[in-house]
Amino acid sequence: MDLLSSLALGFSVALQPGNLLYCFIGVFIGTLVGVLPGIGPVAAMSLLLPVTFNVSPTGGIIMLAGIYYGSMYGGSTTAILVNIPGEAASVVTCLDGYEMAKQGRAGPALGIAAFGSFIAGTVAIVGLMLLAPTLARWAVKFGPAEYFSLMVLGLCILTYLSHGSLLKALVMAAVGLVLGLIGLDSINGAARLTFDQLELIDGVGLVPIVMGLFGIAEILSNLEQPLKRQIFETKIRNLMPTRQDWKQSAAPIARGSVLGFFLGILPGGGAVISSFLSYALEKRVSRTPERFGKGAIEGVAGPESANNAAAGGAFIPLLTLGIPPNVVMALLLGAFIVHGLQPGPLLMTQNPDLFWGIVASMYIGNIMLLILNLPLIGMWVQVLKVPYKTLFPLILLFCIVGVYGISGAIFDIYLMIGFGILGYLMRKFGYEPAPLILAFVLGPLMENNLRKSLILSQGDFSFFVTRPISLTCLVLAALLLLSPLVPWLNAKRKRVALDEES
Amino acid sequence: MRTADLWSAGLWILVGAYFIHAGLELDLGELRDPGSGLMIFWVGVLMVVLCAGIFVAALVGPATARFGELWAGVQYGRVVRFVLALCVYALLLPWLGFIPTTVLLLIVLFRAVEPTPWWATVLLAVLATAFCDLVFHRWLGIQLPAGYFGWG
Repeated sequence: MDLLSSLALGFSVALQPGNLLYCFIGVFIGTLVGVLPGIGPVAAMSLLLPVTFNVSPTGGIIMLAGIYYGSMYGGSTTAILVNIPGEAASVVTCLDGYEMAKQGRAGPALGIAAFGSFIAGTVAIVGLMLLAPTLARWAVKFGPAEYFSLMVLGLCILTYLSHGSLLKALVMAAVGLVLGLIGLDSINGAARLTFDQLELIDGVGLVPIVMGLFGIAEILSNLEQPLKRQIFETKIRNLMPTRQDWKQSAAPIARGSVLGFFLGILPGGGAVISSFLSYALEKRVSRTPERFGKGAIEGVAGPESANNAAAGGAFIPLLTLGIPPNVVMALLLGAFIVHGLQPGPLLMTQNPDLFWGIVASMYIGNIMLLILNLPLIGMWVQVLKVPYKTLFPLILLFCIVGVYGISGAIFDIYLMIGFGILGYLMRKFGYEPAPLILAFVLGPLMENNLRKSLILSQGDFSFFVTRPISLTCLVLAALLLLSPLVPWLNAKRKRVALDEES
Repeated sequence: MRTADLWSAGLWILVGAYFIHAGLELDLGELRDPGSGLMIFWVGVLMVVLCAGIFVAALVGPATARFGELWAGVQYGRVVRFVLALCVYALLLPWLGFIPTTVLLLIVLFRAVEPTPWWATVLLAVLATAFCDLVFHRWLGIQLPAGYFGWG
């Protein structure tokens, strides 16, 4: 099947009324959670995961995917109007977006963020469409050693790019790996770390962990300090950027789209890193870097394009290799598995309607998002006015329904509370939850591939270094882990982490 | 020197040691036929080594945050009340069912941060619970606990 007929098949699936509705629900909820600080796409997708049980796999995945890329659009609204990033990927948009708003240019800032996001989102979908089939054909050659080494590399990239201490990020990844192994051993059926609890025989659920570490921990962190939000009150008008705005933003949007797309593909990369790098790049290439931080439109256009392109690029490793490059994709992998589907090199040939349906729905979703984020911007501004004291009990309620809805077990609510407290303490002590979640998802896959490799090679570890792809991944992983020993590289990494934190 | 990093590294060393113990108990197997405990064991070893690194870095490196500094200005009351309310909610949920327990929880939480008029609190709690029940339970078919009285 050539590319155009595949895409036609995709549109025939995505344009079915039911799938259109799920796409709309997804991007609407995505924008909503992007706008609201304190609840992100991870929590929203966890909440809606049980909802997808009752719909077709295509509809469910289209909806969950819509939440992810929709949240990237919504995050910029809060960053520009409130100076609080609705999403981590919009942190950098606060710098110039809010300054523009203070100068009476909130409209063009919101406009260029939406147009940049739309252009970058479309570029990413075209990239996904062109690159995914090639990568999937290549990935068929992957054996257990290659998969194991690739997952090691993914974890190393994520830990390397984490804020602050590399050692702490690695500890979190280690904890996640073991948490992922709780329950029955898939090879010999032995019960592992179940403490004789029947509820742990099937392992720990992803959703209670995610809701706890992200949802509950976020609420606890917000509750410990008074949260004051200053909403930009002036009426927003002139959403269309001027000719001068377009002239200044065209190149940043193009650069952000390409940079974000390729960073999104990297395991462990993603929207947050790409937005920061795009901002740094724009500042570096600008003839007037002193304008950055004082309302430069390039500082909004570049990062907002980059984070949307990264959201699109992140689908490639999941759909072609079956390896989630970030936490959101890990949740999407969970959704695939719930529906009895295994993303990977064979997905495109075995379920072409699903694969191309998702791709086509992203085109449609992007158009929906443009409409939702420009003419309807006033609605999102009203949402921002909901005080946090009213918002957090509702976020909690959705967390509870999401957790209980999947398993129907009260035990999972206790787990969520436990992980919420753990997540709160982890934030206090400077440990990041993202490596834990990714390792939790990859843990069983990694162990399975490691054991298969050892059995195939009769216990010979050289099996991992005699295969070129596996060797390349392991060498890259080792270089990343050893790089902090090189003083200037370590200083550079710490600077990036500090920039992100500030 | 009683820094936050020393405390956290010490705690994770204990967790790592437990993983080593659990891995050994589960059987490591042989390299050509790895057992259930192999990965847990080696991850435990890795954790202990990494945490020892954090511990040593905290001892010899520049002073990091002291344990007490992490809690300066924190409104403990709100955090503790929130966690307690959640635990009580989880305890009552299977007995009373989703609707009454959730209304009670929301009333407590809406008033936990700042005093809100009672009528607004109760109205919002009832509406939010009814919305959840209607959308998730009635329309989307997600099972929510009914409790012994069938009020779910």
